[in-house]
This record gives sequence, structure tokens and C-alpha cells, in this order.
Amino acid sequence: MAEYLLLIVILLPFIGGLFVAASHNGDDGVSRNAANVAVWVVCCNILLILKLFSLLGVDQNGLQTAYLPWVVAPGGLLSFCADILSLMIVLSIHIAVLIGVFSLRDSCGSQKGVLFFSQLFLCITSGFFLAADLFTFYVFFVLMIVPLFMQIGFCGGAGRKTATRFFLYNAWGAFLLLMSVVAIYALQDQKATIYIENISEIKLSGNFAIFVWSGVFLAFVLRLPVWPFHYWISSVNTVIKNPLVFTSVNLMPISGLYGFIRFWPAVLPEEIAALVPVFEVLCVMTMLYLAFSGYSSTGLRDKLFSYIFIYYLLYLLGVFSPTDVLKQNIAYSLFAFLLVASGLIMIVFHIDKESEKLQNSANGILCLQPKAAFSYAILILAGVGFPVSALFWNNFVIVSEILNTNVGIGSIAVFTMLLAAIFLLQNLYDLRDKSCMLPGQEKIYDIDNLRFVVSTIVMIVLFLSFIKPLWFVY
Amino acid sequence: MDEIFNVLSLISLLLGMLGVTIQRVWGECSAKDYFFTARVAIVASVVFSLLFQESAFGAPYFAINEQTLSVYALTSVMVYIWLSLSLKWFVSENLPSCLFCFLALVALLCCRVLAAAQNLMIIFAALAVLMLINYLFLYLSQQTEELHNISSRYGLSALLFVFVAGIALYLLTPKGWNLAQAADMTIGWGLFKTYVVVAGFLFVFMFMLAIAPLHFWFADTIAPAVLPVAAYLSLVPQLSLWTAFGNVHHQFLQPIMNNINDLYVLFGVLSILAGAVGANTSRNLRKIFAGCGVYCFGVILLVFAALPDKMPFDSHAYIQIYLLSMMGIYTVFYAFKCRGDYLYNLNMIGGFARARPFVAGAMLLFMASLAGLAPMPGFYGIWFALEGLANRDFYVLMFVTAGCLMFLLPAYLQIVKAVCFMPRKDNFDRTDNNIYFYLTLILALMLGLICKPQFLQML
Amino acid sequence: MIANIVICLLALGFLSLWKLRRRYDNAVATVSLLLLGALLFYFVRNWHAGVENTFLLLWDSSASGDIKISINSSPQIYNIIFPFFTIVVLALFNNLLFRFEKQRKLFSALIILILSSFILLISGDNFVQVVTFVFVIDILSQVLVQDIYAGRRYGIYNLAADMGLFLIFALMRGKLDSLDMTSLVEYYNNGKYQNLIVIVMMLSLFIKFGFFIFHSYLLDLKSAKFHRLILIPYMSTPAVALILFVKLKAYLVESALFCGVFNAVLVLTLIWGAAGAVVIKNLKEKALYFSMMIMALLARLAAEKEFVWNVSFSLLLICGFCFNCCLYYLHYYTNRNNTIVLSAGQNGKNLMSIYIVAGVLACVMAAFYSALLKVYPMVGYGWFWSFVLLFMLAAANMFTQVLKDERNKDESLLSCKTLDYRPLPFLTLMLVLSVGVVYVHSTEIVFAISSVLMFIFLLWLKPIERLIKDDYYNNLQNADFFSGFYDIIIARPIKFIGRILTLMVDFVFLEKTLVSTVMLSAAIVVRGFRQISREGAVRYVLFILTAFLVLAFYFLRSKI
Repeated sequence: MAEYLLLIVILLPFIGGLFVAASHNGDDGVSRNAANVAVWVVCCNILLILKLFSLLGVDQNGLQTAYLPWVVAPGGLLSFCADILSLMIVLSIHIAVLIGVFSLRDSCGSQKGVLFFSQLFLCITSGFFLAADLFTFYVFFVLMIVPLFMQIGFCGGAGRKTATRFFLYNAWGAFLLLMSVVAIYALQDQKATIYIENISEIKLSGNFAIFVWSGVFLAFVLRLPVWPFHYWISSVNTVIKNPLVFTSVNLMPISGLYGFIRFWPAVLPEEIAALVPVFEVLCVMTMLYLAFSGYSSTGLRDKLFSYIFIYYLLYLLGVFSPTDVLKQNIAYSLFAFLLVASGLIMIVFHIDKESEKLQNSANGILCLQPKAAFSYAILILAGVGFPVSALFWNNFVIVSEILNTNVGIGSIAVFTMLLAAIFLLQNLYDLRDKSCMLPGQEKIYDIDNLRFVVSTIVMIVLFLSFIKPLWFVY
Repeated sequence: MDEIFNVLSLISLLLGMLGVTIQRVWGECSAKDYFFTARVAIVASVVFSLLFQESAFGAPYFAINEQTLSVYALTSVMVYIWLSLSLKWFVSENLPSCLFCFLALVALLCCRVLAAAQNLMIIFAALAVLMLINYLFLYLSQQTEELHNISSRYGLSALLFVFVAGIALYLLTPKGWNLAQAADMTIGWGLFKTYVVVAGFLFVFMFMLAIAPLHFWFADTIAPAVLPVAAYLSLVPQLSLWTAFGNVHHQFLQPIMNNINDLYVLFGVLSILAGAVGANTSRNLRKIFAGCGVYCFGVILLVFAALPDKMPFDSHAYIQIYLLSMMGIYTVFYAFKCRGDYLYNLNMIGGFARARPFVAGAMLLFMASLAGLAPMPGFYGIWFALEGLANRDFYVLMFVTAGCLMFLLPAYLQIVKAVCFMPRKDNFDRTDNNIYFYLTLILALMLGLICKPQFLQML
Repeated sequence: MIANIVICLLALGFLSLWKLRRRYDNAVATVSLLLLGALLFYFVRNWHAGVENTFLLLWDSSASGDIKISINSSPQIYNIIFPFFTIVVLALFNNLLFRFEKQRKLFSALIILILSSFILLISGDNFVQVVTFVFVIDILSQVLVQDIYAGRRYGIYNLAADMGLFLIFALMRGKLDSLDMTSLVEYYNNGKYQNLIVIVMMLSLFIKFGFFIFHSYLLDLKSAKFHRLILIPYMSTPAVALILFVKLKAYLVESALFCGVFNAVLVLTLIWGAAGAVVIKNLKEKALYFSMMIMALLARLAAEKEFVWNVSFSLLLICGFCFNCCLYYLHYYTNRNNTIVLSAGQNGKNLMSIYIVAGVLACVMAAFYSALLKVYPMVGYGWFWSFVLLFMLAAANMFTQVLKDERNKDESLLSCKTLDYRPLPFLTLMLVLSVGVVYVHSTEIVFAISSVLMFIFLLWLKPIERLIKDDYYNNLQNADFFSGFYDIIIARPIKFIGRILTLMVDFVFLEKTLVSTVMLSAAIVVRGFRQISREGAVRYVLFILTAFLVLAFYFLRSKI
């Protein structure tokens, strides 16, 4: 049963996407109908994922592998399997997209297209994170950029130009991975499936090994906001005006992170592994850069962007630490982090939209939005690592392992986390500072009840994850 | 009796040509009638060839096998769809279509001959006729002075290569025209003579297949030509030409010239580069896809270089997938219509997706396939090609091939940008049901290929 | 058992949060106080009964061992919890008597929850529990502060301190592969990066204590409500710092670096606190400066090797809070104006109330000094007399300012509050402290009385007023040299660097250099190709020639 469920989890969003595409638009031009279809599909899939968790069991390593026949694939099959890490990521991405769909309600523009591609994105990401073999992994790795490209393009304005850049940049990463994957398969005497868990058994030598693993390494790095590769995502984030697209784009780097988790550190040859300290330094320098730039920027979304990527890089540093025990902590932390980030995106986009009515800055706006203020404050507290979510304890373990490996890098990482926390808190204070409000402002609306309920549910889930990360598994 | 059955398919085509001519001479026929006759002839020809054709027929001049039959069937299907779509163009433009249908049937006949021919003279003749048909299509459909000039230049270039190929044939003497013995004829020849023969046959194919640096005519002719002619040049002769080239390559060129694979590599890389960069130089949709075509042909040539021993399945699959995708693209081109005019520039099709989401969606899928995006059929075209290169340790070539695909991407992306992201500029004309039907058919075929790629091997 | 008390406190705290009609507010607050009083009684009874046990709750598991929530009921833990428990009971009592909260029950709930967190922090013996409850108390303190202006720097400084603790605990956990805090000393002797740990730990604690240089965030609290402000030093961050200091002392005192810096900072804090308490006229700020002085003293005491948290030490804390309460009463009876010089000394009834407050204050100080006398041998005479002198001078000066200022005879001050129907808190305070002093320090009662006399003497003598001109006072009111510390030393440079980096890295280097170069190169290639692809017969010839030339090249190469 688990195998079929695994395939359904991957395919259901795609089928849902077709329903979204076929749904009838409302008279007001807003695709409520499409959004409702999307919500139901994602909710159903979340339930299926939870069922998968229960089938998996907390102590087991992975589900029985599910196969999808496809002659092109070496071995003739696309294969999928799941463990706690991958299922946690898939679940959190589903929840993040669901929150994104809720945030979309009063946005204008081509929502139906965005919703269709968001479903497609869910299908592809599920396939990617549940991929069991190298070929399947590659196929979904590449595909992931298509729905995002379309979603960014649908945002209009500068998004069109940025979408092209986004696609091209990510396609180069996919190209590098393709080269490596083709080279690895070419080495096989007979076409056979290469499972990711067995990838360390591939024996490459000399320059060929460097060629192959450098390709893999760079393909993942290009997905992550490591300097100077961070620019693609920062330039995209500045132009996106749609919360769902913003959420989806910010989920993209997880693919690079996940790639490193799966491939690191067992398989990389010494030649590449020797570069790890250099790369770690690059990571923390980027974290510092992001922290400084987030601190100095005035835009809400810029700050949020900086915060999100500082944490991604923190996880990346965690992945680089020479231990495998962190995988689970990263999964738990990432789960909470994605929930926090998507919740924050929902509120921030609402605040941004309402603040356009103000003559000056958005400072003080939360005084007029008690529900938004409450949700925002709690989510920020969770986000900066206060003990209200699974972020707290798991980040503690991750940081301690990074410090154990390299105190300097770990200290800078903590410093950047602190800076991120400070600029988020400052922002919260600014938004709640009544003295900044000018009298006679236009009517400012609070978040609607639905979104307040959504953010409350997110908070409850976060708190439960703080007490027990796998509280939903029976 | 068997002999008659064997030639029934050819007779159908000839009868089709005769029918069209009779309709022209004695009847007051509309464009629909000509097209109807031509399509009936094509269907009959395909059915007869699939039912009655025997492998021994036409030996030693022809070799009929599963591959040649599938090539013919596929080419016929393409010609059928192309004719069906072009009918609307002739009706809306109110132009005579008799000669067009006649030439289409002749071209199909030539394609059939080319795919199965085992004699260099026959191949030469079929190529020459195909060149003539190309020229005639351009010449007869000329609506601008630009097209007139281009057709003249094309004609002259074609003449040159026919001449060179003619010299090669002359040098080989009739004894050596048989493909199986042609290579043996060259034993003991001087290097110069061998190179002249190679140049004769290689360049004529390269010219027809638009392989760089002899690709110059391809984009030039496709861009200003009327849509049915552009579609013909892009779709119809390619598969047969490649099959014939495969035969000539394996039986003749490769055995007589040691370093021909290096030459292929050079021309292949040149084509890849020229295609990738060329696609980005224009906002004319046809030029963009012409660039894509040149790129694909370059890839196939590289696979030929990597697999010197046999006609590779990899390249065969690749060309089939390319043509299928291109067929879809040209079907979409028939839907790019505003106030009776067929649109060909990116600036003209802004916001098309908002008006015709299904057609635009189909176009995206075809382009995804051309870009080699998994799980579209184009992906395994490029996958097989790259795997073929990697299997023979041609890693640099593999790198160049895939790298140039990256350079090709901006061209596709600007189409997507125009079709999907730009605001709607104009009211597009209603799309014919015909187009929807064929798009659905091609999409279904693609879906079939995605789910069961074994189908390609059957083809 | 302390665990039972914690559970009761949590239940009480959360139940008090339950939304009820306004009319039940007083009832709930009263019940809370009564229950808390009962719990305090139960607590003291258990303490004296010497019941010892440990409550353990398994929270999560990790590679470094299980994370447990532990609550130890040992005499030491009882000792530490006691002053905070008492302070909370007194605060609830105040809350019931003064209508300073719109919803008393919410305020009660908040401080009960803070107390629960304090107990869990005090009981914690592993890194995770300690750091968790430090964070929790910070969140609750933020709610306690309530005011946005006051909370801004308070929150940020605290966060910085917490992250410092987070860093060192994480580092130790990584190096020791254990979460147990008892291995701290072992780590100092055998571990790595001791100085880094000491520096970060020291900085975190100094920030949390609100010591000199880092005190400006505490002074921001002047914009918070007074009744909340008086609670903050004793039930929030500085108190947390004191508890942490006691827990981490074993590690810190091993370091010579720490001892030197710590003593210097304490002296500076004491002096700065005294100067502020003397000079600044804002009552709220005065309260904070006094708290600074007291915290410096408590930290000094706790730093001693032979230090044991005993009743005297607890009494110092309680007295500190009571002293703050007195300042609040003073504020309450001086028309609730923060600036001390605006108090109306000419109103007879009002004057009476101020005299009573002064009397209570004298009692508090008596208790404080007697408790101090009990523990002073640990800190030595120098520290003891310096503190006593400075504190008395500042306190006496404050009353001099209140009682003798006759310049402000504003008509609006005639409606000053009088000592109407609320002698209860004063009497209670007097009673509690007197009993406490007599019970605990019966031998020091003489010193206590003499200290009161000394205070009155100083009040009469007005030494500070004689020394410092009034103009100078006024000039110093807004001259807080450290309020811009955070802004100038940290915030502005970071902002500046951030903007420069954004400009240089993103805009100049990536957008204008890297991306533009790539785009330009692509454009050049495309333009070049476009030139080659221009229509014309010549191009055809050129391409054909190229093909033939290539073949010719291969021909020549084969020949060679």
C-alpha cells in the first residue's frame, strides 16, 4: 500500500493542477474557484503524507521503494522512496504552498496560471524529494525550474525579465548535473538503476572523479544563495509581488540543500572534500553579507529574504559538518522554519499591500492590525529561535555541531543569526510603533479571519513541533 | 500479381498526381478538391505499402525493411497533416493549390525513394528532384522581391551541389553506383579523387540537411516563405534525408575516408553553435525554430560520429522526436492568426496564451520537448545522444552539445515570454477545429511516447 | 515538592488568562493572591521539612543524551526560589491594592508564569533547560514591559545576551557531547576556547545584569509603566543574570580575565548607578539606577568562592524590590509625575503621605543593611562601606529633592493624591521586613536602627545639594552618554556596511560588472552572428567556400 500511496502523493498535485486549470473563473476575475480546488488538493495530499508517516514508522529508515516504469530511465524505472527527512520536507513544502494559496486570496493578476503551476511545482518537488535513484533525482531536479519560471513570469512587470534570468541560471545547474549523471551512467557496464543510498559505491578515479563530483557539487551550489550565486534569487525576490510565488521561489534552495544532504559527505572524493573549508568560509561570508544587507534594508520583503537565506545557509553548514546525526535535526528544524517563513510571507505581503495606502512608511501599521500584529509577533519569535517551535532545540544541536567542527565559522553563523533576529525584531517594533502613525490615514484592513485562523493553526503546529517534532505520527 | 501489389503504393501516389492534374485541366475544382485527392492518395499509398510491401521488392536498387517503411509512414503522416493544415491557408488566401498538391505528392515519392534507395544514382536523382521541389515551392509562392532573390540564390547553390555530386557520380562510374559495392570501387584510388567523391555526396546531403556551414539557405528561405512552404521545408524531407544519409554514410563514406568522423565532429559542432546562436539573433519565429533545427541536425551528426558502425537508434529516435515536436510547433503557427494574417514575429503574438490557452500550452510542451526537458520525448532524444557520446568517451563533445542547448534556451524563453507573459495586444482569429484536432493528436502521440518510449523503437 | 508547586503555578497562570467578564477581575486577582500565598506557605513548610526529591520529565532524545526537564527539591534550590516567590506575592498584593492594570488577572497571570519559569530555570541542570527558560523569561518580560519604546532596546539587548548563551552552551555541548551543566569546570580545565567562552559568557551576563556600558536598555524602561518597571530588575532579566551567574560561576571564577574585568565593571556600575540616582530627577530612572547599584552588590557577593545563597542574600533581593515599591508609592503620591521636582511639598496631606513613605523606606533600608551586614565579610569592608555610603547618600538626596523643593507651586498640583485609604501596603511592608530582620538578623538590629538614623541625618544634612548647583543638575538630565552606544557602535556601522555591501556586491560587482559582461558578451556574439547571417549572395559563397576549405584542410592533413 505504501508504494501506491507514495506515487499518489507525487501525482495527486498534478491531477489537481489539471482541475485547477479546468476550473471556472469567478465573475470578479478572481480565481476563487481555482484557489478552492488547489486548497482541497493540497489538503488531501497532506493527509496522505501523514498517512505515509504512520506507515513509515518513526524508527524505520525508509519506505519500501515504489516504481514508475519508464523505459528511458536506466533500469527502465523511476524509483521513489521515503524516509523521515524527505517526508518532513515534502510535508512542510505542502503546508508552505497551502499557506501561500491562502495568502493569494486578495492578490490580483493571473492567479489561475500561478495556481496551476504551484500544483505542478508540488508534484515535481514531491518527486524530487522522494526520488530513490540518481536518474529520477536528476529528472525532477531539472523540472523544478519550469513551474517557478512560469509563476515568476505570471507576476508581470519586471518579473518577465527576471524569469528568464532565473530559468537560465538554474538551467546551468541542471546542465552540470546532467553532465555528471550521464557520465556516471556511461561508466556502468549495463544499464542499471543507481540508488542514491548506494551512490558511494560508484568508484571514480582521478580527473574523471573531479569532473563528475564538481558537476554535482556546483549543480547544488547554484541552487543555494551562496555568494556570488545568490544574486539570481535576490533579484527575483525583489520583483515578485505575489505571495504564493514568493513562497515557491524561496522553497527552491531546499533542492540544493537536499542534494547536499543526500550526497554529502560519503561520496565526494578527497579532491573536492579538501575544498570544504573554503566553501564553508564562503557560506559564512554570504551569511554575514545577507545579515548586513537585511539589517540595512528598509523593505519588509528584503529583510524576510535575508532571514530566510541566512537559515538555509546555516542548514548547509550543518550538512557540511562531518556527522550524519544532524539529518534528523535538520529535517525537524527545516519543517518548523518553512512553516514560519511561509506564515511570515503571508503576513508581510498583507502588510505591504496595506502600507501602500499610507503616505509615509509602514511604521506603526500593526497598531491598526491587531490580528496581524499578534500573528507576526509570534511568528517572528518562533523564527528568531525562541523556544516556541522545533527550530529552537534543533538549531541548538546544528549550531553545536558546526561549532564542534569549526568554532570560528560557528561563531560567525550565530552572529548572523543574531543579526537576522535583531533586524526582524526591530522591524516588528517599528511596525508597532504608534508614534509613527500619521492621523487621518486611509482605512487600513487587518488580515481576514481565514488567514488569522491559518496563522493560528501554524502557531499551534509550531508549538506542538516544539514539544515533539513528530507529534502527528501514530 | 505480387509485383502489382508491391507497387500499389507507388501507383497510388502516381494516381494522385494524375488525379490532381486531371482536376486542374478538366475540372472547375476548388482548393479543397485538390487537397482531398492528394490526401486520399497519401492514405492509400501508406496503407498499401504497410500491407503489401515486401523486402525483396526492387532489389538491388531498393532495400525495403521495417525502418524504411516506418520512415515512409511517418513522412506520409506528416505530409498528410501538413496538407490538411495548409488547405486553410489556400482557402483564406484564395490561391491556386493544384501545383502545390502535385509537388507535395512528388516530394513524398522522392522521400520514399530516398529512404529505401541503395543506388547512388537513384539517391542523387531523388535529391535533385527534392532540390527542384524546394526551389519550385519558393519560386511559385514568391510574394516579395526578397523571396525572389532568395529562391534564385537557393537555386544556384543547389545547382552547384548537384554539379559536385554529379562529378562524384561520374567518377564512380555506373558500376560503383550500387551502394554495397561503391566503397570497393574506390580501393586503390588516389586521395584527391576520394575526397572529390566524398565532397560530392557529403556536401549535397549537408546542403539539404542544413548542416553548418551549408545551413545558410535554411533560415533564409523559411523566414520569408509562406507558411505552408516553410512548414514543408522544416518537416517533410528531413526524415528521409537522414535515413538516406545514414545509408550512404555507413556503406560508402565511412569505409572510404578514415577521418570522416572528425569531419562530422567539426561540422556537427559548427551546426550546434550556429543553430544555438542563430536562434537568438532574430525575433522571427520561423528563424528561431530554424536555428533549433540546425542545432538538432548538428547533434545528430555528432551521434553519427560517435557511432560509426551502424545507423544509430539514438539519432533515429532524436530526429523522429524533433520532427514530432516541430510538427506541433508548425501546427501552432497555423493558429497564430490575426485578421486573416499569419503571424510570425514575437512582437505580434504577445498575450496569445490568454486568448488561446490550449494552443499556447501545447506550444509550451512542444518547446519543452525541443529543449530536452524531462519527461518530454525530446529529453530522451538528447539523453540518448549524450549517452552515446559519453559511452565513447566523447566527454568534450557531450559538454559542447549540452552547453549549446543552454545557449538555445534564451530563444525558447523569449517565445514563452511573448506568448504567456506579455499583455494581450490584439484579438486573435478563431482557431480552426482542425488545428485543435491535430494538436490533440500530436499531444496524444507525445503522451504516448512519454509513457511508452518503446514506441519509438517500433517506429 | 517544588514540582507540585510549579504545576499549580502553571495551572493558576493559565487559568487566570481565561477570558472572563470584567466584574470577575478583582475576584480572580484576589483568588490568585490567596492561592499564591498558600503555595508560598506550602513551599516554606516543605523547605523547612527538608523534603528532597527530583522530578524528571523526558522531553526529547539526542545523540548527546536525553533532554529532561528536571525540578530538584533541594535546600539550595528552595533558598534561591524563595526571594522570587516572595517578590511575586508582594507584587500580586500591590496589584490588588492599586488599580494600575486594566485587567488585574492578566497581570497576575503574567507574573505567576514568570515565577514558574524562574523556578524551572533555577532547577535546571542541563544546558537546554537553562537556555530554554532564559528565553521564555525574556519573552514574558517583553510582555511585562509592554511599552514599544521601552521594549525595543530591551528586547534586542536581551536577545544578544541570549544568543551569547546559546553560542557557549552549544559549543560546550558539542565539545563535551553532553548536556549536563555539572561538567562546566571539567570543560574549563580540559576543553578548548576557554577565553572565547569566558568573554561571551561575561558579555551576556553583563548585558543581562544591565551593568555599566550595557545599562542603557534598562534606562529605556522609563517609558514603561512604573508598577511594571519596579518588577523588572527583580523578576526579569537582571534577576535571570544573577541566577545564571550563580550557575556558571564555577566556570567563570576559574578565569583570571573574568575576575579582573568583573571587578572593574562592578565598581563602575556602582559609581555610575549612584551618580545616576543622585543626579537624575526622573523617579523611574532613579529606581533603575538604584537597582543597578543593588545588582552590582548582589553580583559581587555571588562572585565570592564561599558564597552560598542563604536567607540573608534572599532578603537583600526582597529589600531591593521593596525599595522599588517605595519609589513607586512616592511616585503615586506625587501626582504620578515622573519628575521628582514637580512633587508638591506644600500640600499638608500629601506631605504626610510622603513622610510615611520615607518611614517605610527607612525600614526597608534598615532591613537591607542588616542583611548586608550578615554577608559583608565575603566582600570586604571597602565594598561594604562604599556601597552603604553611596546608597544612603543617593536615597537621602532623593528625599531632600522631594521634600524641600519649593519652586514648583503650580495650581494643578493642588489636586495631589493624599494618603487616603491605603496604609495597608506600607504597614504590610513594615511588618514583613521588621519580622524578617528580627527573625533572621536579631543580632544586627542595632546596626539596622543606626542606619535609619544615619539616613535621617543625611536627609537633614543635604550634602549633595550643597555640593552640586541646580543648573548643573538640569544640564545633566538628558545627557545619557550611553543611550547612543548601541546606535553608534553597532547599529549604524552595520547599516553602513550593509548598504555599502549591497551597493558594491549586488549592484556594482554582480549587476553592473558580472551580469552586464555576460550580457554584453552574448550581445556581441549575437550581433556578430547577425552580421555573418546578413542576406546576400556573398555570404552564400563564403559559407560554401568554408565547407570546401575544411575538406581541403583534411585532405592536406591526410596527405601529410
